[in-house]
Amino acid sequence: MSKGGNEHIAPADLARRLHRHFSLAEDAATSCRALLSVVEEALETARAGGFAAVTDTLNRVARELTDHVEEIVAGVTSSGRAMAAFSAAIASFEEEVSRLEEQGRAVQTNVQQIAGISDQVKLLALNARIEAARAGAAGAGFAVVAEEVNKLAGHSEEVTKAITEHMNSVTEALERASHRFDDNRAALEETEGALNVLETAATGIAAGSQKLGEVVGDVERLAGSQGHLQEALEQIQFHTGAVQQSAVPLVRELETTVRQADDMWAASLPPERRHTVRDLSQFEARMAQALGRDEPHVAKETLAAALAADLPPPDLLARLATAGAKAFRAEGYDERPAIAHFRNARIFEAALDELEPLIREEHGNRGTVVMGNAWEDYHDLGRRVICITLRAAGYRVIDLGLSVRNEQLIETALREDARVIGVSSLLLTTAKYIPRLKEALVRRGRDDIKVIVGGAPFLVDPRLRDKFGADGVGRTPQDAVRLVENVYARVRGEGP
Amino acid sequence: MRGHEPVAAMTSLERVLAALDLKPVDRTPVLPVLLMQGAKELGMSLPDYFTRPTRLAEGQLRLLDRFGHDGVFAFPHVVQDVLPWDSALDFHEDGPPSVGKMVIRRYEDILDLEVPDPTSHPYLRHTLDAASELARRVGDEKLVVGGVIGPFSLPTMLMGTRKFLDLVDLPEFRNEYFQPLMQKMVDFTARWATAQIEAGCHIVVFAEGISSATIIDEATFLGAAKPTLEQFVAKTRGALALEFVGHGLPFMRHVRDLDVAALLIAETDPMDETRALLGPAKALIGNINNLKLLRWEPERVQFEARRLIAEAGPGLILSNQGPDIPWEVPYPAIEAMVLAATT
Repeated sequence: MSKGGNEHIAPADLARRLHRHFSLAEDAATSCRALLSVVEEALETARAGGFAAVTDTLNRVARELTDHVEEIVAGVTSSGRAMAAFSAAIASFEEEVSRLEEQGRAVQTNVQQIAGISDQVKLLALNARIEAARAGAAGAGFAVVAEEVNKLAGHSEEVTKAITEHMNSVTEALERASHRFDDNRAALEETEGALNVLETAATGIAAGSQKLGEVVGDVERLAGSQGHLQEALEQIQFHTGAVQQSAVPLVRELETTVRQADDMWAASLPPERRHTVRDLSQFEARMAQALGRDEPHVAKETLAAALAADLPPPDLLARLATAGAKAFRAEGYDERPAIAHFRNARIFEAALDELEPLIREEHGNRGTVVMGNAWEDYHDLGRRVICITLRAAGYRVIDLGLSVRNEQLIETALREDARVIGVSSLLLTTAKYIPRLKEALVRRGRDDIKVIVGGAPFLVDPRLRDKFGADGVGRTPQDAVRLVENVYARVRGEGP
Repeated sequence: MRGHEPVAAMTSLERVLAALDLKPVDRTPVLPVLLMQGAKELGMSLPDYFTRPTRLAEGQLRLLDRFGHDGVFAFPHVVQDVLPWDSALDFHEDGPPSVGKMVIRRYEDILDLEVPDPTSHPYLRHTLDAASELARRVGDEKLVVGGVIGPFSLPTMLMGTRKFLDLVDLPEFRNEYFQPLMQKMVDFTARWATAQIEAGCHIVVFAEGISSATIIDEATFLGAAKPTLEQFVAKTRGALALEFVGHGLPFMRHVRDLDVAALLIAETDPMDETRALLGPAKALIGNINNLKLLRWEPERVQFEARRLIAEAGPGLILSNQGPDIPWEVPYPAIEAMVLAATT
């Protein structure tokens, strides 16, 4: 099916990619909402003269927004490429179908010609028999020949009939296939249309966030002259509003796109397998509900039913990750107490324990991540949730647990060929070991191993990321997945 | 106290006690939670200061001289509470000690756990000595504050947060081990808090991070945490202040009747909403964000502190949210907090 260098993209892969892009867009929208609230706070406290704090926060949020935006643009571009490849594949297949149809028609003509010849032979044979009768005994030999010709003509007629029947069924099959691709093409066209809207929206976000970054710079410059600060902050608010205006339709459109991609995927499957797509969507919805309501028994039953229905484990894993992402982003999720996160973690762990052995070979290893709490840090909630989310995203996670020495993190990363070390730290006093981890990696000539960090100190004081030399800060489990994906994309030569 | 008769000048202790009773004060009392900074005053490293708590009283008195706030803290850090349980501390150059060892590794260990006598541990004895010295030297004029880890939170330092929350959450563990564990925690913490009161503290703050809405939901608070807190309060002889060390607002109405004099509240809990839920009987201590002090300029600190004073009604003790003010917070930020109340 490959043609013109286009990569073959299966509809199922495309649908999975789009699910991922949907998550990214939702993150961008969440960031925008956060940004808006930060700006509102900045406006309220502008009079206080706390410029450094205001601009620090704005800088951080703007940077995060920009990261999200870059991800979205990359995601949308990749979707567009996937769609184009798929489109080309279908076009190529359609050409083949057309050629087959032409050939079929030619064969039918030939068959009709054969039928005509056969009729003529039969007529000739009849005439020959009449002539032989007239000739009497002298024509007996000729009659034998005529009889043979007649038999041959009868046989030719049978063969022609068989060929005609066979060709009719081939043509019908091709017509059916052609109709199915007509359906697909309609879905494809709609999807392409939606992607165009997405691209526009993503471009809008990119421009908005760039503008936002510039205005933040202005604010920093203006911090010394209070008179202009209010005006600058109002500008930020304006541009933030614009960013959000792009992000919201982006999310809405992507939702439609994801649905259409699912439809397309379903349409490309044989009728008896189309229920798979619907069943996967139901699985995702029920798992999201189980996570949102802390219902481990619902999750357990849902997974058991999905496996009993032979739904593909890699798809279940992907849908589980999406369900988790949706639960994480649900309104009010951040306000939920830690115990709810623990409950979610238990639900995830139970599901992953079942799925992992089934997918390990099929799913492959997207990369290895070594995780641990900083030395003397005994707060494991954040780390646990991140580990689970990374596993759900297809990474091999080596979780070294609580209070891990830097040497152990490094040795494990080297031994297991991990390119990312994740360190969780709830306390400022334990987070201080992180710069030493970076220094040790540099000393060993392995600064290609990236260190991502998470925990309260980094959320409260964004400057710590730079101060501690961390390569990234994960505010949420999805952040962590994104950071790890970025690292491994670069390792594979795909990233910026 | 706008609209009221001017109040005659008070000593710090009178001022704080009046605020704790929600009575008029001459100015808002201010109590930045300064624990580690004593080391700076004495020119010692934090590990030196914390491994030798004999210098605690001296450090607190020097802080009082420097900042002129309204009270002293008679404990080096609350993590010391794990020591009698045969745990260990790791000391750091730029922060409080952290727990160095988990002593409950299996749930079965709970049943065999013996409740230690807090006053028999040398480190905690030093703390009590410091409390006595502070009470003797400034206790007539300044508030002397003690501190313990609350009974529902101490287990996380002995067994880890995950293990404890699993114990609270999962019936297969809860049914067998929760009550025995809580009984032991209440016995220890009440005894330790009472010992500090007896040593001269006017009030003891019990830090209850795990009881906060940051960590548990309402059902868990009502079913597991609150009964534990009630037992602790009933068993402790002396004035107490509850500190959620996290989001407390959703549970404020449930602690309305808890017999504590005050609550230390977090920045996430607005004063007015907290007051409305809590009723008029308890003082509020807070709620400048201690971590934001790391980067706020003094002007911003003053602005936020003055806003708090203006918005809060009677019964405010201006302070920071828990736990304490980080080591790296610059002194001008702390001075700004005090100045907001005193000028």
